[in-house]
Amino acid sequence: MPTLIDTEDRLRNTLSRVASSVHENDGEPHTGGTLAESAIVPSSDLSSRGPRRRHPARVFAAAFVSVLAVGVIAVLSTGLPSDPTVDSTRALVAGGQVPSTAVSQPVSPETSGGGELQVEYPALTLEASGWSMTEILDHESESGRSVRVHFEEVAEDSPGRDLLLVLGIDSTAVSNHLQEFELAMGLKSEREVETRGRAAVLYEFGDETLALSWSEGAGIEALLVVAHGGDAELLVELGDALVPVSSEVWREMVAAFPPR
Amino acid sequence: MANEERDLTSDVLRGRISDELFDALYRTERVALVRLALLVTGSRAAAEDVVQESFLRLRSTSTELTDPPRYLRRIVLNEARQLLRRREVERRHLPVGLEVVLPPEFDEMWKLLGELPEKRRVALVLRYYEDLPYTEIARLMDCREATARSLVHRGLKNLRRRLNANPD
Repeated sequence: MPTLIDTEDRLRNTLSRVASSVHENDGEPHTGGTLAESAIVPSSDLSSRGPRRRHPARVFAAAFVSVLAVGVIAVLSTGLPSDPTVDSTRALVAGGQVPSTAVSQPVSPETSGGGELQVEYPALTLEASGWSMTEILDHESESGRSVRVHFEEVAEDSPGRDLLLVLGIDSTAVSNHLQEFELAMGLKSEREVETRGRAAVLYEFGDETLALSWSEGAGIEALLVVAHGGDAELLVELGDALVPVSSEVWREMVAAFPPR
Repeated sequence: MANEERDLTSDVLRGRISDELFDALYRTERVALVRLALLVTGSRAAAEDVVQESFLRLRSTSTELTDPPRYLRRIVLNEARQLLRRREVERRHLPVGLEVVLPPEFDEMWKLLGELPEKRRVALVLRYYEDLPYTEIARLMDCREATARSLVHRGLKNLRRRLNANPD
């Protein structure tokens, strides 16, 4: 059974061995003229690459938020129990790294037919996450409460940390729209866990994990986590998935599902 | 311009790589960059393309450069990582063998390395092939130092676990 040091040594040897398979003058496209000229010969493969694609995790997240948002509006407008108070709006963002004071403009229950709630994330979070929460549209109706959240990418290749979005929605709605989403995206969850009335579905894209969790009953919280990269200080290992623990809700999840 | 006294550095600082500097970089850096790209992408052909593309980008850059080789290396890494990400989803469903054939004692590690998530793989290559400190790995990968450490640690742990699973 190799130790970590053995593994390091084997890795070094392998990398060195592979690298040495590339020799000087191997495959140089130099066919006369200056190297500057020869290096500019376009490769057929390069020219056939086509437009740069967005990372699947981001496509996933963007599509998921869209589906979820539409679903939330549709489902909640049909009569789910609600508590249209400012407190519940604060709860909407309190699960993440956003302090309650980040809600710059409370939504009053009297707001009818729609109202706009601007939520400002701390600049650091915005910059680090690569995403920008530009608005939360929160409006009351006779039958319930709906929440719409709009995200925009700040920069496609910006280094990411975590983006946490906690939506106060019904677990059935989550479940339904999760299936709808999986169907639309042709995806299947990597791992589904459920215990103590709390469930989570984890999707992994390489080193990035999207996790959706919800609890049954009155808790009605859903947590969408977009984790970019690995941060030793914030992440714990849940099986092979990297999940952030910066949210109280998520800490509960981790407690419920200890690392394997 | 013709009468202007020129040196390589001044050309770079004006945001235009001179032919002399470009040629010099090509001669001195190309092989090392292909090796690096090969370790990241697992494909010799892809590595050649990545390096080719990187030199093209260097040629057309208007950025003021103080350290062209370092800049070039960063471009190569970014290009290689983008290529790897594009392949990631396909690879999950249809594993593709790495192109370099090695003796058995090296082959298993190479294969396992190819199965790692992109970030961990890149971090391991930078750490154990390039021998870079974590601060530099973090800079090249646009992440925090703690993240770089975490990626290396997790990558190594993954490899070890998989080696344990296949003790041959």
